[in-house]
Amino acid sequence: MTKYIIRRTLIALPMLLAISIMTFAFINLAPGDPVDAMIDPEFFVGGAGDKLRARLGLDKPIHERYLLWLIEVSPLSSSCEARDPECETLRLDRIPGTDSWPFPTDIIPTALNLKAWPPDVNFGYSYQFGVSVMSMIGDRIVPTIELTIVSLLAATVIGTALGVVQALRQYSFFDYSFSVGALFGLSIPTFFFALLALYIFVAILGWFPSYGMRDYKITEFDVTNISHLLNHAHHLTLPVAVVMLESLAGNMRYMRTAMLDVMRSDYVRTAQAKGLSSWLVFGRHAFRNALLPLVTITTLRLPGLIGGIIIIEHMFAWPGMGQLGIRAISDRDYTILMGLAMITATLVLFSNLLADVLYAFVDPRVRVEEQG
Amino acid sequence: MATAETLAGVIEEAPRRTRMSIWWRFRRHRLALFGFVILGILVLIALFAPLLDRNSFDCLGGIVQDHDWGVLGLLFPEVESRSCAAYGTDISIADEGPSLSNLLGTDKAGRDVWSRIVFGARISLAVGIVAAFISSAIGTLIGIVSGYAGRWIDSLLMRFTELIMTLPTLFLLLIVSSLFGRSVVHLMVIIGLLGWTGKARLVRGQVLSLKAMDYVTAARALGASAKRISFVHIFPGTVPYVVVSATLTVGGAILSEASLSFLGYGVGFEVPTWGNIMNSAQSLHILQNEPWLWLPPGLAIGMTVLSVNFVGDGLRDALDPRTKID
Repeated sequence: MTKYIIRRTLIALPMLLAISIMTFAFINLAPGDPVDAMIDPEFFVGGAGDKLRARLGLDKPIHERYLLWLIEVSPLSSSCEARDPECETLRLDRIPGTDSWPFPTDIIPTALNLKAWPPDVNFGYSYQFGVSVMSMIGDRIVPTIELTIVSLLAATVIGTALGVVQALRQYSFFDYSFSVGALFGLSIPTFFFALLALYIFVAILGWFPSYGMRDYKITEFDVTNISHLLNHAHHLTLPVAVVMLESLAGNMRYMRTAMLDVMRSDYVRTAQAKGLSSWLVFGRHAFRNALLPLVTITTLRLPGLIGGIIIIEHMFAWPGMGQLGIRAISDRDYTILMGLAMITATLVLFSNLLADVLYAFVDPRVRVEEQG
Repeated sequence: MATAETLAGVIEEAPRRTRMSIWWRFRRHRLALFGFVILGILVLIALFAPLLDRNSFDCLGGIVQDHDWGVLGLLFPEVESRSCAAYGTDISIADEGPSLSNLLGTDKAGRDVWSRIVFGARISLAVGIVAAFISSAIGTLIGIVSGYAGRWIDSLLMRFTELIMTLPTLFLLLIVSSLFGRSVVHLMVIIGLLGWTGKARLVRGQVLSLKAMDYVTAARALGASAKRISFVHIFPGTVPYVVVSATLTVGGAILSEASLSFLGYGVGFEVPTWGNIMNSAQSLHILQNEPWLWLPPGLAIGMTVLSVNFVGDGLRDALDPRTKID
């Protein structure tokens, strides 16, 4: 197993590299750049824009910029400040007419520093805010992961339960209406569900808050304070309910088919013939086997779920990575986009690995094949 | 002699019979038939949009904006025809609720929502169908090459497929479509280019099982080239699966386009697409006070994708003789 995990991790590295090349190419080959997004072009008289580009390193050819980015991100190199506290950081004056400080990204080539440990991943600095991308993402990663995990759990538990009941009562009214309901769930866009939820539960009924993670009066969030936690859960309910709908419908459809398949298999008939109680037959023999592939299906669904989360974070003003990403796209903030892409890809690859390892633990057949 | 002729007749008739039974099986699936009818109506609406557009005769003061249909516009000049009510702005009737002259009210620029929804059907269906076509073509090609060639080509292509699968599609779509201009054609191509992974894996699996069949061995023994075997003998066997998957992709592509436009990163704002019409509902004020701006287009998207999914489900049941139809 350890060998398998090591091999998978080593495969993940070239995949991450390929993802970084593709994303970098997509972002940088597109027309327009951060300088265009920073300021009204009419302020750029006498080649000021080109000067700014030169200082930000945006005038270099794309492959050179990619290599600089890669060296900077690589944990083996250290940032300019870490090497030499008095190293020269290029700073510009405030752009006329705006409050923006165009801090240049720290993309001056740095020598490989093999002694740097623990690895210090540095995604450079935001073009728009001049703040370290790592710290910006660090502020926002927890809300996003919370939203992801809670909705995945809810979708799995509720979807599985409904699918099993559907299979046990095949062709009943319950089965039929939930089958159609699942198709509705897969056909209606997440943002329309969100609009409906906002209209019904926020605008008309006023049961839930429309935005944010907690009440604005709570400045210091205290995890041990019950009222703080309840307030947070209150804010979390609507986004989670909307995000999970699509996965829930998918899980329900999967679980119904899988249960029906397993229930037709010989060993379930044998168990029934032995006279085991139906609870034992379905609970222990059928359900557990139907549940297995759900692990894989959930990881395959993860990239799609992230899409839903981007939309929901934007609509419910949930201060997560998706919201940051949408902002960065309109700002053409290349460094933030690259950082987000790399962190999301790492998380997805990691959860794929986790799912495969988990699968080997729950399904003894996989382990036998591994040894053989 | 007579036996041989009868046999030839049976062989000739066989494909026709199969087709008949597919239609017969499809028809028994009531929801699929319902979806098929709804889609037919939608295609008619899209084709005859200018006739359904109530205000197209009065074009005074309407500002008609250009949008780029690219090659499609050259091939079908009709798709470039636009309506004053759907494109032209008229501030004097902005933000009005449903009335007799504007069945579904108007938006903040005074454009008729009904006309925009009718014209939006064109773009949604076109994006869905073209994107599904592109992704099916790529997916089939990669699947066949990967499955038939095997060895390092297979593992290279499959690793690449897995790579694309791990990327959060919407994030990539957002980046690409917002950075590379916002024309309808760009959007179709981008959605198509990111949606082929499932089909490649599906086709590859199918090719692997067909490859082991006796008739393929026979073809190889007769000296058929790899290209001929994979495209003449194996490809037809994968078609039903690709058709089902492509149908479901049409729905997915329509959803992607709508989500992108809703977020404001899809087609340019002046173009009537269902997602674009709903874009303004991002403000709570409009959500609450002008439901005609987001409810009808949302229902239109839901109904279209639902019909596509019904048809896809029906096709799957009709093409796969193993599933029972009740």
